[in-house]
Parts: sequence; structure tokens; C-alpha cells
Amino acid sequence: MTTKPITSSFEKFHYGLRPAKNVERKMMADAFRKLSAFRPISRYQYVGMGSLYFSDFILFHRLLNFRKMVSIESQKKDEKRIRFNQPFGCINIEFGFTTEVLPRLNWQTPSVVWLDYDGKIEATCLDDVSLLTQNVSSGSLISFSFNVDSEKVRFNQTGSAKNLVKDDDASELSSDESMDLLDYLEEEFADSSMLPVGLTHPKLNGWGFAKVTREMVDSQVRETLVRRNSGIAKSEDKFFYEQVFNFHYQDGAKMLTVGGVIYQAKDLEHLNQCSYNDLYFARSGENSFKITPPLITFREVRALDPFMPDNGSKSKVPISDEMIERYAEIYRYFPNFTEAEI
Amino acid sequence: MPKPTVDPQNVVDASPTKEFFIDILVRDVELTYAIAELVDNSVDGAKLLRETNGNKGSKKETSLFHGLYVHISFDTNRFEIVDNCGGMSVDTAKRYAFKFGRIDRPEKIRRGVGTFGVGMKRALFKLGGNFEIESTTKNSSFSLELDVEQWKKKKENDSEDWHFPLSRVSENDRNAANQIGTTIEVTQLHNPVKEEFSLKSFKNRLVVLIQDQQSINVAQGLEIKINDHYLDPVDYRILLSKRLKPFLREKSHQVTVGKRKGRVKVRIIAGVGRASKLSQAGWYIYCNGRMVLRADKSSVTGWGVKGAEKGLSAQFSIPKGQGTPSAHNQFAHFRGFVFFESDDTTLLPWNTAKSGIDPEAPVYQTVKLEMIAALREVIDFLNRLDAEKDRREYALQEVMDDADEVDIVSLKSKSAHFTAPETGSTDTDDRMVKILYHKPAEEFELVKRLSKARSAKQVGEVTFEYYLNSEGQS
Repeated sequence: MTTKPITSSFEKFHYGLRPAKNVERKMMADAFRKLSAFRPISRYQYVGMGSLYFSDFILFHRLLNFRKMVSIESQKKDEKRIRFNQPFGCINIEFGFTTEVLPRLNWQTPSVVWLDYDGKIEATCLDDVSLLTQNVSSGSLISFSFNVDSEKVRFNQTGSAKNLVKDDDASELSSDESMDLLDYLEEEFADSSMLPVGLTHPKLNGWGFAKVTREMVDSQVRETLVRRNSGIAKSEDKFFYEQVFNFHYQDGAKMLTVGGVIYQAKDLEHLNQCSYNDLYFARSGENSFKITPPLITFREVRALDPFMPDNGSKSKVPISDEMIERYAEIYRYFPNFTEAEI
Repeated sequence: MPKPTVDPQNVVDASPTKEFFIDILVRDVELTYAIAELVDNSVDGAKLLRETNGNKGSKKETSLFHGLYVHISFDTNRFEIVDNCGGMSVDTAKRYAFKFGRIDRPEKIRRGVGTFGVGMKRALFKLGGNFEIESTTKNSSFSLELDVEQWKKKKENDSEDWHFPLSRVSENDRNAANQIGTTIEVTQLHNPVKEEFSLKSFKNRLVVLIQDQQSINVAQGLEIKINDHYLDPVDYRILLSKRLKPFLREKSHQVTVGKRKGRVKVRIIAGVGRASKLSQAGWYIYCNGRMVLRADKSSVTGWGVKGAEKGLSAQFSIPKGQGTPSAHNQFAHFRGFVFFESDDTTLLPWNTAKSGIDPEAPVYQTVKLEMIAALREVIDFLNRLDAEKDRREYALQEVMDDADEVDIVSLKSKSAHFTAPETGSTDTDDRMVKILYHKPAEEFELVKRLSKARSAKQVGEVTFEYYLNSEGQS
């Protein structure tokens, strides 16, 4: 540990080294590429939260050639360091919270948005979901990642429930400063109708909180679309939502990524041409795709690859069939040495 | 120019009046509230059924409505509400339920909630273009089917025909108990309704609304189901012990509204709840057992009122300029409940949509003054509680921890004032000094880690005590 004060989570570890996250990013890039059925992917703008490492920006710029990229960064005090780490000139760093920055961006431009919140769902996250759903142009993809770990929850109760404490700091709080997850959700979303009715503690256990979080985002998107469409007369101009991502993964805490394409009825054909059904990790509903890269050595990887995708069990690599299956599921995206993100 | 020939048949179309009427009727009501009115009708049926059967509807009764249900189901094609709450008599249907304009309901329902005689019609028009009603009471039954578009066009003797045609009318029967009840089905849903019905968030909204409104009736055994979700009996609770007593006043008011006169019984309870949740804090107001305001923290219920206003300070010894504060986290324990009850529902201080209070209603204005007094008493206590925490004392907190949670409906202990121990009166604040200073974040984090403090406040306290211990001993 450094003696320097710990100010934000990105300084604790290098995100690029998280294997499940790494796999997820590459899967997302494949899904983004399919948007070229609407228009060349390089004409899209990418809006994300690059943090200090810009892992997603580097990958997506290299693979997809986004020419206009916006990174939303709340840590204004680290501005110099963040600007120093900016990997490409085409990245525009906007300082502020998402709720402040998103409204001032230009949404006429078709967009690929990935808000990787890192923390648990808050009322302001649904404000972001709503703002994007209300404003993005047809053929845009919006996606959101949340911490959905129900076991490590501590919330600062000194102010409102909004003073949510990140898990990393949770151990520093005494029990009377913590708040039960169900209580937190009921308090935080008391004025929102997105929280499913009849929630109980068992329903939040395991990956339950991930399901609830996905449903809340999904409900918010669909409700906002009804409002957006109420002002649109022609049925071909009305907007719809097709979910593409419902990833569950866990490098440390349990994480969820949910998102999909917002399109107008007249562009349905373009959406069909994206053929998301063909992407084996795409999910249009409640069922999730679990990203669980096996912990295997690179020697094992090299021995397995010649048997990919179908004949892993013939490889004679001394690991369980279950691990081989898990590898086969993500081998194309498996992190390896050649991908050092320098 | 030749005068154009005018066919009178082409000039007057009968439909605009009805069209206009329906438009006005449905415009100002939200879909969830429109549906809630149908539930109110079922509840009135339940009250009529159980209270005329010799059961006087004692407040303590937890099984008053046992065996009675209201089931709502909807999808993007249809809406249905089915109950076994006594059914609607042919007489009620003819003279009241489907009559336009305000006509008194034939049966007098003690503490009824269906009022203004527009709720059902408004809900049906709001929902869709076709509805079918079947109702069976102990001794009569009827059905009614209406195609709204056709009805709009219908005329009789060149003037609009406003009748709703009843069919299969049967009276003086002896119907079996399991046949008794009302079923309403609405089809040809309007497009905006279809869209709402497709949303999970709409169902959430409807469940939360009706759960709140009918919480007392559900607690008394009424089964309400919305699609596959059964509403929970939620009972609201308040802390009570020998040392901690809620404000509780009951009074009967003589009320006059227009030509109508009668008595309105009012019961006010104010105190503290166990959970420190701002979303639950505030005033809950009921009219005849039906909640119309939930956890309200606005000026409507007396929050954020200046002491000097309207002579309140003189009446309730509120220091001038002090009044009541706006709601914030410090008052998250506050719970207040007001029950208005009257046999004449038009005397109750609710608005026409029953979605809130009519703040201008004279009976409410009178009661509000008492609510403000009650609020003030509880807030003084919560301020003391907060001051105590700042001093790291827990005497008042312990008083709260030791108290029991009591259901507000069955609360008996009468105390015209909120009572709580005076421990640690607020003026001890004068002997405390607050220190505020700024330090670079980096240095702060270092000291915080070294001192193992959990918050900035603790860092301040620990470092102060450290200095006091090493330098202040001599």
C-alpha cells in the first residue's frame, strides 16, 4: 500500500487486469461493431467513463475507430493526471457527474454509451438512463454497469441515503452507520415506481440484486420510451428498445451490465441486420450471460487453443471438463500477453 | 348569393356534448387514481355488506372483511375487476351508479368512501371503449354492456340519450352467496392505457397506491390482488411507553358544506416511529379509513410554516419567527396520522379525485392548527434527540429503544400532548462550542489513518482530546 491518501477506486488496482471485465469489454466491442448495419461504426460517438486507464477507450478506438469519444470524469482534482493519461487526441474529457455532463452532450450524433458506474444503483443512475433513452437517436446503444453485490453493503446514514459509501470504504464503518440493502432501496427509490413491488431479503440474495437492478433499468427505459413516443405522431417514428446485454460477472464484487439498442420503427430492418440473435452472449430478456473465465495458465491456454472451439475435451490438458467448457465459451476473448494495454 | 340549403340533420351532431363531457370527466384524473376509484366502490360494498349484517365495524376488528376480495387483472387487451363484496342493487345502478349528475346514493353507507357519484363512470371511460358489468346482490342481478362510440351517437327524440341500458334485470331473487358480487370488464382499451398496462412500472405504481390507500381495509381482512400480487396488510406503528406518549386527540366537529350539515369525527395522532426513514416520515391522512395523503412533509400538513403567520404563534405559543421547520433527515422519526370520519362523505376534506386534501376545507383548516401544534411538540423532542447525539449521549435514544411499537388503529392511551423526558434540555448546547476548520485532504487522510478515526468529525474530536490529554493536565 502506498502512503498516499486513497482517493478513488481506480488507484487501487488496474482495471485492465480484471479478467471477466476484460472479456466483457471485448464482447461488447463485437456487439458494437454490429451497429454498422445502421451506419459505419466509425461515425458513432462513444461516451464512457475512462477513469485513469481508459481501457475501454483504447480498445474501442483501436477496434472500431470511433473518431469522437467523450470520457465523463468526476475527479476534477485529478485533472492533470487524467489528462496526462489520455491515450488519444480524439478523446474529450468532460469533468463533472454524469447527471451534469450528459445533458450538455450532443445526442443528435448516433451514440454508443457505456456508463460503468462501479457502485450500486442510485436514483441518479435512473435519471441518466431516462435522459439517454429520451434523447439518443435511432440506432444508438446505451449500456450501464453496476455493482450488484448484496453481501457487502454499507450506506452512510448521516445524510440522506444518497450519501452512499463505496464498498471499499465499507469496512471502516461501524454497524450503526450501515444500512440494510432492502432499506436502502426502499428509501432511495421511494419516489420511483421502478423498484419491483414485493421485494424481500431472499429476493436480493446471490444474483437476485442483479436481477432487480436489471429490471429497474429495463422498466425505466420502457417507461421513458412511452413518454417519448407520446409526443410522436407517426408510428414509423416511434422508438423501441431491444436489450442486447445482460452480463453477470465477478472479478471481485458481483457486477451487472445491462443495455441495448434504441431504434425507431422505420429502422427495424437495420436492427434485424445487426442479427444480435447470432451473438451467443447477447441476451434480450431476464436471463443473463455469465462471464466466468476459468483461472488457467497460459501454458494450458496454448494447449487448449488448437482444439477450439469444439474439441476441448480431446486436448488432454489436465483440468476439469467444466473448466474446459468455460474456456471454450470465451476463448476468443480470453486475456493474453499480446494484449498488454500500453 | 343564393342562400345555401341547410339540412338540420347535418348541423347538429348529438355527439359533441357527450364527447365533451367524457373528455372533461377523464382529463384530470390519472389512470392509477381512476382504477383506485373502482376499488373504493368495492370497499363501499364490503362495508355495506358487513356493517348491515349486525357487525358494527369495530376499529379493533381484524377480520371485519374476512372472506371478501377484490381482484384486479389487466394486460394490453383488457382490464377486469372482480369482487364478492355484496354486488350492486338494480336500484343503485339505476338511480346512482350510472346516472349522470349528483344524486344521493340510495343506501347510506357508514363511513363510505365512494363519493361524488362519478368515480365508476370516470374510470370506465378512462379505460376503454367497451365495458361489461355484471352484478348480483342477495336478491337482484343485472348486466350492462356499453359500446362507448355507439352510445355517444345515440339519440332519443332528437336529443341526446344519456341512458345506460341495463339488461337481464332480475329482482326479488334469492341468490346463492357464492354468486354475489360484481364483475367489470373493459375491452377496446385506449392506446395510452394499453401502453401504461405494458409497463412493469405502472403495475408497481398501482400496487403502491392502492396498498397505501387501502392499508387499513387490508389489515381488516380484505383481500386485494393486482395481477398476481397480493397486497400486504401494512399496519403503521408508533412508539409508546410510560415515558414516551404520542399526541392523541379526538374531537367531533360540526361541519357545513353548502347545504349539507353533519358531524366529522377527527382523531389526531403524532409521535415517533422506530425507523429513521425520511420516506416514511410525515403526515398520513385518512378519510373514512381511506388514505388520501401519505408521509406528507409539505406546507399542506404544516411543515415549513412561519410562526408569525396567521396568529399561530399566539395560539400555540410558537415563538415568533420559529414556526415549524421544513422536513429534513433530523425528523425522519416523525409520524403523524389524522383520521376524518363522517357518515356523509361530502363533508370530508378530500379533493374530488380523492388523491389529496382540499386545503381550503374549513374542517381541515381547523384541524391543521392542531396538527401544527402536535408537529411542534414532536420536533422539539427530535431536536433534543439530535443535540444529544452531538454530545455522544444516548438517554433519549434509550427511551425510544425501550418503547413498544403500537399499531395506530388500536392505540388507546390518551395524552393530549406528546410527552417525553426532558433529559438533556436543548440549552446545554450553550455550553458546547463547535469548532470548524479546513485542512489539506492529504494531511487529513494521513491523520485519519493514524488516529483510526472513521469520519472527519471523529478526527477532530480525537486530535482535540489528544492535545487536551497531553497539554491540558497541568
